[in-house]
Amino acid sequence: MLDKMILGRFVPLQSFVHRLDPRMKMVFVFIMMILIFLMNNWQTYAVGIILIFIILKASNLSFMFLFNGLKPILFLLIFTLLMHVFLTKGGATLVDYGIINIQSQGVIMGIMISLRFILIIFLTTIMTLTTSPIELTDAIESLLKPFKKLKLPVHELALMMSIALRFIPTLMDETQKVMKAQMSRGSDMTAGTLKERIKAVIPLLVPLFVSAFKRAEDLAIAMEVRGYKGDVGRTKYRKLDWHTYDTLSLLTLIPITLLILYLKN
Amino acid sequence: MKLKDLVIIAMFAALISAMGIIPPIPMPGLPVPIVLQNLGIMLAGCLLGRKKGTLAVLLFLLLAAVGAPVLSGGRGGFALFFGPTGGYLLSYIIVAYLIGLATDKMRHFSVWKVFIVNAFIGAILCNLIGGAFMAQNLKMDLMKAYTSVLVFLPGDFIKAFLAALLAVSLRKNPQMKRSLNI
Repeated sequence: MLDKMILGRFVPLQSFVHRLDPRMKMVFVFIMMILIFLMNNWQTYAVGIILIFIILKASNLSFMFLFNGLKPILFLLIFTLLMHVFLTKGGATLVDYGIINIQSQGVIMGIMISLRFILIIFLTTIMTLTTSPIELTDAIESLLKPFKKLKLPVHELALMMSIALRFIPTLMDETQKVMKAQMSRGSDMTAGTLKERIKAVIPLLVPLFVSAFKRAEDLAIAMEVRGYKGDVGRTKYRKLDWHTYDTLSLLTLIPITLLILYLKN
Repeated sequence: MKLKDLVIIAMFAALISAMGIIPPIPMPGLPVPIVLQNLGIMLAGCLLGRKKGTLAVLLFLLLAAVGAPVLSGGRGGFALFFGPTGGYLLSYIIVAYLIGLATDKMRHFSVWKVFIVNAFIGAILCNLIGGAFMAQNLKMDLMKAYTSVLVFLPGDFIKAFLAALLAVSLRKNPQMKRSLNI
């Protein structure tokens, strides 16, 4: 379960999309999200859906991964859809029964808003399924490099991201361990009254925080002992390589943008 | 910024992520359980202060944005910032900063003073911002959105109290004193 939380998100297959540079993928997804917010009729949404199919094919992923990506936010999707169906007015009345009043504009609006959300979820899910978090961290550091001239601490940001990503599984294990240890001493936050459960939170979080801060201090000392002095004069072990197919894939955004701008009303 | 501070900020972001796997506490009579993850947001402000707390929350949200499944329920991904609850995520930055700003100025740390700060900023302000964004994203009436976020308030007040208790007791711990230089 815990391994699946972190490691299971990235699916290490061999495919065209996996080989793309993570920077290209980030720029592509970012621009596509802007385009998705420009979509406002069925033709433009059709373009988005076809594009998702093409990318999915190129990444060798099955549809199950995409729908698994939807699962955690299924409640939000249904919530969004129902809010519009019941509250948005306009168009022909479909159902008028007491307090319930459903009109066609509400249904259309609900479907469109949900579809927009689904397209964004699918796009970002494909990116996270085909790129490891460390690669994404490297991509962010690289893409933010121009901001160094604005005195933005880009290297420090990338370092913090890498450290946090490395320690999330460790602290999750620690959380489980402390939870079980306190449970074996009779402090159980999965049973009992509300007051009892809330009382059980304190003995869980205090040791968790103390051990995390001790780990942080130990890590800082270990890094300094190994000669860390910031990003001055440092080399890089992990490198990102840009290829011709990265350029060509990014250029496909031009016809996509023109097509969507032409079709929207 | 010192290396120790950088590592503490990163570790705190990982802590907020880890708190997402603590099982929610069901509230009798309410449809939404108490999720402990935004308790971590309040603690970021109380414990780390204005600057480091805000950076920890920013880092946590950045990890969520790049797809690490760090939000409660194993969620992650940039799209969540545009969903109905995206406003809550963005309000976390403001919440951590303002709580840190208020608690930085406290000369004497007491549970009730920290609770009042957490209640107004972490519970009420957070839901005001979240509700406004929900109205915008769902294209619905603002008052209807505010009515629907009322259901979160009892749990948030309980979390505000828990955060106050934790902040006061953690600040007395010698390991925390050494790490936070307080």
